[in-house]
Amino acid sequence: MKKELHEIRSEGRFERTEESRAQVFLHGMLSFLRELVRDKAALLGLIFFGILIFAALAAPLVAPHDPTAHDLRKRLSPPSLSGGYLLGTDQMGRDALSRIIYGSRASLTVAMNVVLFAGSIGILLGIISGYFGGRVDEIIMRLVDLQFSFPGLLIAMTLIAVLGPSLRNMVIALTINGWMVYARMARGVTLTLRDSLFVDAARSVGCSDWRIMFRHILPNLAAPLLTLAVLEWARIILAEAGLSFLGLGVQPPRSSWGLMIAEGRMYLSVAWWLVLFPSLAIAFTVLSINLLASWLRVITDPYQRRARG
Amino acid sequence: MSRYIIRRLIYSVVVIFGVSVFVFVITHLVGDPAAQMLPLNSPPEEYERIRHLLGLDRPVLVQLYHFLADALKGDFGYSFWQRQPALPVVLERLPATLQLVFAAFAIAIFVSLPLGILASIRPGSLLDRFCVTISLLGMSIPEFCLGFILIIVFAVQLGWLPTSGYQGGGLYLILPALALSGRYIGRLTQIVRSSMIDEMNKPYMVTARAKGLRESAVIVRHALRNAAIPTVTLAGWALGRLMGGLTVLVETVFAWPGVGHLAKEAIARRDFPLLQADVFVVALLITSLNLIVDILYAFVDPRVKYE
Repeated sequence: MKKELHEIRSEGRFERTEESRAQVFLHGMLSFLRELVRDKAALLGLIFFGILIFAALAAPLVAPHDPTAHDLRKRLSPPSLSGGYLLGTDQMGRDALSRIIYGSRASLTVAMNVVLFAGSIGILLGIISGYFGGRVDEIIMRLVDLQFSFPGLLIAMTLIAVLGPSLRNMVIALTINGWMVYARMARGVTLTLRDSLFVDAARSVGCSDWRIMFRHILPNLAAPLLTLAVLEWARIILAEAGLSFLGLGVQPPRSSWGLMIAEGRMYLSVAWWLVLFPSLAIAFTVLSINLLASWLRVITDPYQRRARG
Repeated sequence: MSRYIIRRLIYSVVVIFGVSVFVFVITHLVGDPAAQMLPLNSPPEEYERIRHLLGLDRPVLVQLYHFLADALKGDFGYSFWQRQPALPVVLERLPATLQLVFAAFAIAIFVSLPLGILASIRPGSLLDRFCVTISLLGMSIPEFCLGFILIIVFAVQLGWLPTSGYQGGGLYLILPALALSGRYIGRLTQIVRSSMIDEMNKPYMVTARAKGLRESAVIVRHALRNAAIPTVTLAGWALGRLMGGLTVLVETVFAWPGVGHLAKEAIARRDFPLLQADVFVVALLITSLNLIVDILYAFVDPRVKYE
């Protein structure tokens, strides 16, 4: 009798968890979509960002012209709806729209890689720092503090100048420049969880420190990490544009938004579109990411969610 | 109080030391100063001679020691491009940058303080949304793009202001300072707004209103004074970041003869002694600024010094 009850219970629980898992997932997706539709600005941001990623991936299909094909007879043609060059042409007669579409690849590649590398390094060090505490914590956090008071962009410029300008070196420089934000966040969350009941439980059933850190604590970083990574993404796109503008990113004839602005600045008084359109591309991209980030911050934080009503 | 200041002072020295070591590692270990000085395809004997001349054949720690000792004396080496010691070249450019940064700071305070306060009075209202939109726009436009847009509109199309250059400031200062303040306005408005909203929800606000104070007095004398604490720190911190590189871009756009533009030129000419001196001066500037902010912070908020 006792055994039967136990079986029934475990069976019942088994079924319920399976069912509720699917339900929870569905419910989560639905409420996610509902939240997104409620915040029109964030929805717009997401749509713009989606289009941008699609354009970057499918650049050869989407771009109306070859971004490096030049035609000096058509140099500096103004933007027009009928002439075949929607956003005009540059000083070598290359299509500005196609160059903007291809240029998005540089931005997104750098941002993705830097968020990935800086995020991994920062989170690893941050969790270690918060979990073990003591001397390790002291050293890592002093390093973080130190980096926060560095002239970040200037150091990145110096590093790229020494290594030579390329996308890879830009990723290296910006990773060194940006890991500490994640470390500080990861440490903070780890500190609040270190003495919690579930960590004690995991330890008492014999989990190793590494298992506790990466199976039990790491998942709790997901929500703040998501917001932070999105914000960092915006910051890195700005940094990439700035460094490319200074000539420290992709080299011609390849294109990136910052580089297009640097090339166009000589023609500012005769061909304003060469500077304006890449500038708008950067601004809209960063704006859409910022809108997403502020929305994410609100929906992942129960306190703010309630305050919003 | 004095103990707190001394502790911050020691920390600042550590930061400067850290920056110096970092710069040394980048330029001497990642890069090769001898190779940077020589033209391409120089004979190996020449390379060895330069290495010996610069002391690069000595052990790394000895090199580091000499690098730091020289830096302490203000000796960063000889600028190949300017044909004179590097530090005076940088210091000569410093006033222009300070002028630009403080003008941008003043504009930012002047714009974002009212914006942030207005937004916080009724969160979620039309006015709030308007202010938040402005701050988001400000945060999203890169300062150099904003610079070009300002040039296109006010210098090229309208012809009201000069496109670029530096004649001791005046009219030439307006556009660069506006461009530099853009992202700062965005950040600062958000900081003011959120710290004001935090204060608005506290019980003492109810007391202030209950005893019949006018709303303007409640906001300015009670909420604003307490909201000033986080605002001052973050504003100062952001001011440091403003100098830590953003001026490079704006100064390049407007041909403003400051330390940022100098860094860009030093890189273009591969003049590494000059670049080192530049990074060092900027780091020193940022650190002293942070120090001032920290000390100010302790004055504004008496709780800090007991930490």
